[in-house]
Amino acid sequence: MAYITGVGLVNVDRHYGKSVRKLAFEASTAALDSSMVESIDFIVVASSLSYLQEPQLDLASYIASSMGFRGVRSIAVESGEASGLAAVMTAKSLVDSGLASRVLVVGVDKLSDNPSWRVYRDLSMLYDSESDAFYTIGLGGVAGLLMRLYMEVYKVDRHTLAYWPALMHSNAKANPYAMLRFAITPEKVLEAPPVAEPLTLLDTFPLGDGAAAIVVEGKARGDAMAEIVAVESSTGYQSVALSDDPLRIESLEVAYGRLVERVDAMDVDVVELHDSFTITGILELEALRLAERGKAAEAVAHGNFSIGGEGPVVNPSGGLKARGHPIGATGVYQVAEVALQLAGEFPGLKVEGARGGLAVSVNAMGSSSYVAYLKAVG
Amino acid sequence: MIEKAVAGPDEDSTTMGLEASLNAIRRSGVNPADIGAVFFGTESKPYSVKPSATVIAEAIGATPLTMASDLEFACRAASEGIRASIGLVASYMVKYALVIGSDTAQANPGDVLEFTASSGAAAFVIGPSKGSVAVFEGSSTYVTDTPDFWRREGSRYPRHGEGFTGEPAYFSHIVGAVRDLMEKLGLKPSDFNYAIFHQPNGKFPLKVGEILGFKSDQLKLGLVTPLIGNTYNGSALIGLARVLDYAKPGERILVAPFGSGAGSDAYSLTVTDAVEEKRGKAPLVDHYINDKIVISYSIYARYRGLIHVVKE
Repeated sequence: MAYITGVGLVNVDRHYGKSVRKLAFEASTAALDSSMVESIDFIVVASSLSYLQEPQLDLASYIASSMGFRGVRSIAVESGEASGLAAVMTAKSLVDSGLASRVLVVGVDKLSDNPSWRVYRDLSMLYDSESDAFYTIGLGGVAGLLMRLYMEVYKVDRHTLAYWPALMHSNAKANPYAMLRFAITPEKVLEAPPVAEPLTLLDTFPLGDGAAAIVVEGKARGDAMAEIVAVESSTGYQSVALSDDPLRIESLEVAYGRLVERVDAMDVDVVELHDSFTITGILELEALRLAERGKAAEAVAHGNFSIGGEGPVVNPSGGLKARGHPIGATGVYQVAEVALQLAGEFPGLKVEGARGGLAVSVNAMGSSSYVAYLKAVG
Repeated sequence: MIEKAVAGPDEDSTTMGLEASLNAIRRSGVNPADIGAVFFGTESKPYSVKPSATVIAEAIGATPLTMASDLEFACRAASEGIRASIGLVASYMVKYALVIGSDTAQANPGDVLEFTASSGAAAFVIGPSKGSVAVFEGSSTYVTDTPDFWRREGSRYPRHGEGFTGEPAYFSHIVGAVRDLMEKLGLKPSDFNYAIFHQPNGKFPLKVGEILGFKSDQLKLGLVTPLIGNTYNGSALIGLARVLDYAKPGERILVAPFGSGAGSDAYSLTVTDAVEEKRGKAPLVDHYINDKIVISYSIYARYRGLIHVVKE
């Protein structure tokens, strides 16, 4: 059993004055304070771009030593955009197996320290380096192609797809940790500068820095925030060109299927999923069977995933689009946000009475997927 | 942004600076031989070493007994010359000083800067209050080591830190200088009739104005970038020249240039009666704005030397 007993978040922003270490420190101390623990046995660090940008290897030692943890056990996890969830999975395995009783998971990444061309070049490394990344049209380019394909195959218009970013921004307004806290209309999404038509700037995640941390313990505590019931994952092809159906995130379908097998009864009242681009969010809703294939955009426009809608509330934090996407940290933000919802303590849009929730990460357009199920305690 | 001004094939920052200087001297009515300092603020000098200030000083007849220097601080170089001139004139070291801000701004083809980088110049004769069209009540400068925008020795085009040029650079320095000035002089935004800020685009000045508590009406007259682009050292100063073309005696003007690297100045000026008699002695800024030929990108590329021609 693995329980989340504390969380700490840094607001996602362009923190020009804060280094990777400083951000990780802030999130970690907030999590440790929130959990009221004095010491931890293990630190699991999630980051992706830091290796390339600092540049730094053995990130776990780098972060641990800067926090004054001498002698602590450590490991760093890099799994692209899903590093955060992979780190949470690692922490859960450590406590479930008895190798640790108290684990600090901290995810951190900075995207504002380098010119944007360099950030996007580094992110293109999410694709297969031999066959894809070299020719890559970039994450945005692929998302643009898939968005166009989705519109043609399912006869969905551009305007219907613009409700997603509008919903994300509307949700983020209440979230003090979100990067973008201003409302936008679907019309504004269509008018925004094109990135890779039909995708516009307002369909893409913003470049921001962030850090999030959680404390995971093996022993049940009266004041635990939530239980991490299960984390599952799957790899897909690291190239959209190879997939049987590019409009299906097969790795997420498999990961979610595995998760459902493991868990007896799932109450999914809240979902924090990986909308790196509008189309990614839409396809994930379909992979999670929250909407029929080709119908997710319509369902979003209809309000199905908003507070009071028929489905679970999706991305009350504002998601990757508006809360932000500090790559390696994102998965930890998502798990922390779901835990806060389950404990009734989320400082933004609250999902009242939430009993269970999912956190979902997808690398690129499905190179690999991770999904975690958390449930409320007590 | 509607249009941007492009220097002709036979123009550069020195020729534009000279034209602006002659207009300033015409209005001032001073004998150029009484000009004791010429400051040329630019980031697009035709010579990295060989001052354009002496070319202009000679051309207007201020040489040889004059100070002359080219200044560098991105878009606020000329403004530093203005502050220095206030001191030179007030201390009686010189009778009059001539300050020119002039640039033929360049941007890497395809870079977002290309939309706004333009050509233009403004010049001011600074002298004793008596007979001046406007008098400085006070001035302030706020600088830090902030690398938001730079051009390395030998590099043709500048590079910039994208979002980093906003809050940590433009906004924090302009706000710093203006707040210091208003505090020193005991003034508030509503005490000013006009506010002119460095204008790299049409949006930043409106936003900084809002942060400082100014109303957009106060900024309108001095906001020229949407019509002529960002003339770098000319930016806030052409805005000031335009305001002086229309301002009434007794009105108060705030002008705050900004330069990357980074720093901002803030000045408070009160307009005098002399402005009405002097403004008609040279073409107005609007005359220059309206006197134009619209050219295509290919002609622009030719004029600005973007097309590499291999000479046989």
